[in-house]
Amino acid sequence: MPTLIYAIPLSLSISLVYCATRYELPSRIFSSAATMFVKILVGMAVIYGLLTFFSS
Amino acid sequence: MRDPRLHLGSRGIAAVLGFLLPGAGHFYQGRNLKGSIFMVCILSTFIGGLILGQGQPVYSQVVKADGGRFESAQLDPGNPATERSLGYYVQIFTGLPAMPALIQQWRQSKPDNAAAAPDSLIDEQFEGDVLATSADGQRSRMRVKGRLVLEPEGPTSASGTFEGTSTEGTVVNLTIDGQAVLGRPVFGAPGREVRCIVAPDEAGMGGQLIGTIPRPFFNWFQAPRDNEELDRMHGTLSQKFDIACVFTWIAGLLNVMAIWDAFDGPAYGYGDEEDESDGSGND
Repeated sequence: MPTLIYAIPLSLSISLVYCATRYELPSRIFSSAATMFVKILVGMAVIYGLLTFFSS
Repeated sequence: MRDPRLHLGSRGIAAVLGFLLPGAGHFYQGRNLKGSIFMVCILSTFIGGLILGQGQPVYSQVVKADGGRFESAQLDPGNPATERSLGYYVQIFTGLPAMPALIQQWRQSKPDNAAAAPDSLIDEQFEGDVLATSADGQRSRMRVKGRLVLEPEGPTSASGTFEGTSTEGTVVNLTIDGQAVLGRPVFGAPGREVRCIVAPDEAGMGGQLIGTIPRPFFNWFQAPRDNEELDRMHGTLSQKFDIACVFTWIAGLLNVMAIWDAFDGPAYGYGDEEDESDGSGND
């Protein structure tokens, strides 16, 4: 199992907790957290792809 | 100005409760959904780190072996020097789940927590090496696993038996008689080090039995450890140990934000305010 798999639950936890500290309304918390979670994963995937490309 | 819909109660009490247990401050304030989010996310991140690191990522101090005088800090009969674990400054913000490390630090520093000969019967599973010396001085080393029984004989010695097998499957039966030392009772390693003298057999072959017996969970969990134990964890778990440590650090940092939220409310507001028209609205 690739080590990066651990980034998924960690990113989810960070997104939920961070957004929960920004807002009080549940719908706003969850929508912000979902957006942040996707952004983190996409960002990490892009960086991983770049690093893989440049190291091949 | 704080949103009037927010009832923070006694903010100090909420912050203290939030420090002791992630989310508890929010439950005290009646903000149950947020309390649940913090409790589940922060505790699962912390406990996930503990599981990934086989219970070893949380410790408050690293014990230093005394410049090579002793093979490891476990066997130092004195009180070895320690240095703070920087990661613990962050892990402690998880609250009660990380506080056993402070209790273990105190237990580890007590004068009676020292390496010594056994003072009561030892009957445990042993894993380690036999360093054999033949009558003509030839030395050999054999990896063994089995049952070790030790009875105290004096202030520095013990007698007993070892019955087990080598890694090749050879049956190994040894008589223990002579100097024996056990690693300190409270130490951050699941294996408690044992050194004892193997009595010469009929062929004149004696030597040393060097290895570990199990240490009780409440004597190693979150207890200070030495670099040898940390090296062993890195060797066993490789990157997973570092990831485990990161999980526990992040849990602590997340709880700092949760404590702040309990004390002062959400950073951006309730969440149903209209966005600013100049585009500085938050997503």
